[in-house]
Amino acid sequence: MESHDKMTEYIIRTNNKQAKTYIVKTVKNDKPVLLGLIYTDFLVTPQSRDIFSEEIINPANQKVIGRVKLYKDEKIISVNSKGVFGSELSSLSQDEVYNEFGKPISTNKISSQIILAKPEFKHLSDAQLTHVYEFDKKSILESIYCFEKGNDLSAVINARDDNFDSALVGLTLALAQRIENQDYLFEFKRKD
Amino acid sequence: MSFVRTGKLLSKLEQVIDFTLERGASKSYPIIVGESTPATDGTQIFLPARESIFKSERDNEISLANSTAHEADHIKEINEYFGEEAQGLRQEEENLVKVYLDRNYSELKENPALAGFIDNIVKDRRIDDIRRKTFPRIEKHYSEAIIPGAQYFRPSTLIMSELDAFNELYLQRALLGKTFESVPEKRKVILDEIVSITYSANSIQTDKEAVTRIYDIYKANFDINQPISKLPPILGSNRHSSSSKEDSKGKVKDGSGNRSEEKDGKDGKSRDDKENKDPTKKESGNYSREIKPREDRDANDKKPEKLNDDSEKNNYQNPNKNQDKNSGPQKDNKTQNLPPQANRYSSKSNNKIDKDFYDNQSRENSIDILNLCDPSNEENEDRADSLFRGYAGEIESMKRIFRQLKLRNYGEKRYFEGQELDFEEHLQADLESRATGIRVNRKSFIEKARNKLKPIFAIHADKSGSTQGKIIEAIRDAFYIMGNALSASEYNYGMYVSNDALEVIKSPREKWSEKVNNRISGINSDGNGIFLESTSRVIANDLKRINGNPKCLFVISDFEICGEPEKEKAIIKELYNSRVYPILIAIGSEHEQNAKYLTGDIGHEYYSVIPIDKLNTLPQEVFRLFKTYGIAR
Repeated sequence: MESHDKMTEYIIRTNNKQAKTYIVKTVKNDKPVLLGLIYTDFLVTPQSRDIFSEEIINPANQKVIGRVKLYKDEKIISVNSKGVFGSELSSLSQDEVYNEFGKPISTNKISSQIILAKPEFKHLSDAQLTHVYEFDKKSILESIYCFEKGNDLSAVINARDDNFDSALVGLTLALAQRIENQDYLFEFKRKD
Repeated sequence: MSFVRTGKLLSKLEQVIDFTLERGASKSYPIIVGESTPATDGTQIFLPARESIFKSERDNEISLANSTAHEADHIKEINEYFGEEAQGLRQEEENLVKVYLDRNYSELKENPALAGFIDNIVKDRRIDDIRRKTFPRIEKHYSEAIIPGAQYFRPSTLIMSELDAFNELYLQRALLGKTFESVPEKRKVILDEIVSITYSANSIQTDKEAVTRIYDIYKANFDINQPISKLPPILGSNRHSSSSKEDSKGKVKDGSGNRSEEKDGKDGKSRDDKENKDPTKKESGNYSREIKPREDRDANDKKPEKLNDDSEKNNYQNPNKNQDKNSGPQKDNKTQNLPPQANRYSSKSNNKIDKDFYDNQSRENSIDILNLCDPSNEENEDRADSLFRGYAGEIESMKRIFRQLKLRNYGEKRYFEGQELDFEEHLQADLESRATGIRVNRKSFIEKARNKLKPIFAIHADKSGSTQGKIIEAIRDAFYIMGNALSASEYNYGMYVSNDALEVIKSPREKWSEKVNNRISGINSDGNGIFLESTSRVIANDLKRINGNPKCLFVISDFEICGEPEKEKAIIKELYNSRVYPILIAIGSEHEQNAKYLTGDIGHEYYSVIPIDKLNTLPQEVFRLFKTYGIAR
C-alpha cells in the first residue's frame, strides 16, 4: 500500500433528504472542494423518476461533466465522461467484472469485519464501515472505503493521481452495492 | 433445473420491502426464511428457502421479489386498516391478519375457512392488479411466466368436490384472468358475478362488504357447511401468496377447510369436534369455532390419556404462539443480536416437547439421542443444494403423486369421513333398549370413516462405519428425495439415523423445513453398528404419539447389528404385534440372510434387498414400499 500522503482523496456522499449525491475533493488544511453533483441519491422509490441514466453536473457552471448509467448493456453501473456518447471511464458488469477505461481490473472486496479486526483500523469501528475495495497497480485508484449510515452512503476514494477522472472512476464502485441491492427495483421500474 | 436460494438474496429482498413500504421498513417487518409458502402475519414476511419453479434463474429471482413485494403490500394494507392501533397490536404480539379476520367475518359462521379464502382472493387480486399496472415488468412476468406456468400447475377440477372446483375456477379467474378448464354452464353467471364483485373491492375498507356479498352468493348456491380444500397455491407447489402465515391462518384457511385430523389437530380440534360446534359461541380473540366435548363425554372430563398430549401437539404443530413470543419480529433486538443465518430460519423444530420426549426415551431405553439439532452451516447448505440439483425432477414427480393422492382423498372423504347417523336404526335400538333394559350396541352410526386416519411412518437408516462411501450417499439421497416429496403430502413421517446413538433427523410431528434438508445433508457414516432393539422402541413410541394408521417403520441397514440376535428378532415381532409394521431394507445381497432371520416371525414379505451395485434404486424402493405398506394397506 502506498503512503496516503501521496494520495488524492475524494469523497462521494449521498444525501437521502436532499436526494442528491456530492463528489468532493478533500484538501489538506483547507476546505473541501465540491467537484460534482448528481440530482439523486440512487435510492429507488415508487415515486422516483427513471434513474437508469443520471448526469453528473459541475456545480460551478451547471454543465454536464459525466453520466452514470445503471443496468445498461449487461452492466450494473457504468460512469461515462461528458456527452451522451462519452467514453466509458469505469463499469461493473453483472458478472462482477470491474473495468477501468475498458480494461478489466482486479479488485479485492473486503468486508468490514476483516478490516476492523486490524488494529490500525480500530478507530473506524463506530464509523459504519460496510466494505473496502483494494485495487491492483493497473488501476488509477488505490482503495475505496464505503460507509453507510441510515439511508446515506459515503465513500472515501484514495486515488493515485490528482485527476478529477479518478473521482468519476471511483463513483462506480462507491455506488455499486447500493445499485446491486436494488436490482429487483430497477427490474420492476424498467419499461422496455 | 435452476433455483435461487432466498437466504442469499436477503439484502435485495429487504430493499423490495423498503421500496414497497418505506425506507428502513425491512427492520420492522423482517423476512423469515424456510416456510413453504410466501405469507405474512401482518408483521413478518415468510418466504420459502428456495425458488425453483422456473427454468430461468432470473425468473425465479423475480418471482421471489414479486412475492416479497406482494406480502409487503398486504402489510401496507393492514397498516392502513389498523392505523395507529397496529403498533399496539404488534407489541401484544398479535397476528394482525387473524385479528382482521376476527373482526370482520366472525358473523360468517357456516364456513369461516371459505370466508378467509374469499378475503384472500379479493385482497390478492387487488394487490396484484395494482402492481401489474404500476410496473410493466411485473405485468410481463405474469404474462410470460406465471400465467403460462399456472396452466401446467393448477390442479384439475374434475376430481374435486363441486365447491372446491368452483373455488379453483374462481381463484384462476380472479388472479390469473382466465380459467384453464371450462366453467359449468350453471355456474357461469355466479362466477361472473363474484368476479365482478371481487374487482369492485378497491380498498381494504371495502373488502368486508365484497367478501360478505360473495359469501352470500356461495351460501345461496352451494352447501357451504362442507369443508373446503386448501387449494394448491398459484403455480402448484408453494408459490401462491396468502395473507396469513400458514400456522396462524389455520383457523381460517385450514380451520374447517381441511378434513384431515392431523391438520385440524393444529388447532387441537378434531373434525368430530367441529361438527359439534356451537355456532353462537366464539373463542375470545380467535376466529374459530367453539368446541364442545363429544356427546358421550363430560365437558369437565379430562381428555383420555392418548390425547393428553394434544396440548403438546398444538404447541408443536402450531408453534406460532411460541414463535411469536420467542422470536417475534417485535423482538428486533434479539433478532439483531443473532447471526443472520440463525434468526432467519423459523425455529419450529426446536420444540421443547419433542426434546423432553426424546430425553425421556433416551433414559428409558439407555441410548443416546441427538435430537433436532440446528445443522445450518455452509457445507450442509451447499450439499443440500447439490442434492436439490440432482433430484429436483424426481422429487417433483413424486410430489405430484402425493398431491393427487391428497386431492383424491379429499374427494372421497367428502363421502366417507365422519360417522353418519342412521336415524331409523338409532330410534329402533333406543326403543328396544328401553323395553328390554339391555344396553344396545352403541353402534348407531354408520361407520364410513375408513379414510379418516392417515399412514404414519418412519425411516431409520444405519449410519455406522460399515455404511461409508456409496451406501451413506444412497441413504442421504433416499432421505432427501422421500422427505422432500412427502412434504407435499399431509402424512406424518419421521426420519432417523443411528450408529451407537440415535439421531432424529425429522420428528414425525415436525413440519418440513429447510433445516431438515440441512440435517439430511449432514448425515455422515461413523461409529459402531446399530442397536435395533432400543432404537426401534424409541421410534415406535415416537410414532405412537400421533393418531394414524397404519404405522410403518422402514429400517435401512446391513443388519450386522450390535445387540443380542434373539432380542433383535423379538423386537421385530413386538413391533408387528403393536401394529407398527417393520419393513427391513437390507443393503447388499450378502446381508439378505440377516434380514430374513429378523423377519422370520412375521413373514419374509417384510424385508427387501438392495444389491450394492443397485444402490441408486434405494429411493425408489423406499417409495415403493411406502406405497405398498403405507398408503395401500
